[in-house]
Amino acid sequence: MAETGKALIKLPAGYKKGDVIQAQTICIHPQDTGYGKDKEGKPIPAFHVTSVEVWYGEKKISDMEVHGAISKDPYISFKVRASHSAPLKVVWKDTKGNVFEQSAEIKV
Amino acid sequence: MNRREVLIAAAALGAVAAAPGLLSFAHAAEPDKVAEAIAAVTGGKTAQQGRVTLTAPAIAENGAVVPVSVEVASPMTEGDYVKSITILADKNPQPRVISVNLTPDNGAAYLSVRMRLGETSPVRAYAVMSDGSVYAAEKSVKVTIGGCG
Repeated sequence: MAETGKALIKLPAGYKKGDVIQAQTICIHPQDTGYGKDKEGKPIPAFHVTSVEVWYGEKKISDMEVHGAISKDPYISFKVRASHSAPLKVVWKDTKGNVFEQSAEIKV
Repeated sequence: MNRREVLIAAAALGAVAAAPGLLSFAHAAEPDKVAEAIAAVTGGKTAQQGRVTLTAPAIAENGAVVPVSVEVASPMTEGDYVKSITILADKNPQPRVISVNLTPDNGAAYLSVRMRLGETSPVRAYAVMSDGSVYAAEKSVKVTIGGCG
């Protein structure tokens, strides 16, 4: 899947310094649980996101342990206090050791 | 059970019969696997009710994509914040769904995801506070077409 790892971060518009804002993220990924089978009945090996890190500037503010039960193309949304202008960077890692990154600027 | 429910149930059974490879109930987690996952989060502490708001549909037509949100009441200050939020689904082959570690910089203890449910199952949300106390909420989600594969 050529698009695996393509990621998106959406921040709201019109916030000001100190506001708590909601970040919405999507990372294109098959999220195979390891429990599914293909058309010939052969098991599909697990291939899913295992962790997500959230960096705000130089500081890691959040990290996540992700399992195959998160749907295909993981949608994960969280909140962050917009205390200063800095990039919000999200890093996804998966069962094959792939690392995907996406950033969005928080401007206050 | 009214006529509509009977039809939905019949359709669900039909789907199971038509796709046994895609949807096998033999995958459901053992009860002790659920207890193990809970203990890993709570550290053996008894979870208190309150503070955690778990939002999930009562009926999910497609178990492959079930929107679930968790919000925990907390000032999110250095001295008093939510350290982690964990979502579990009892009847999934692997009950753990996602666990997030938070810091006061998050400003609010909030997590929203789209998750899979292999079959009708209780969904649980656990929040561990910075003082070590644990709060939980639970909601049953009825699944008409499982999202196990």
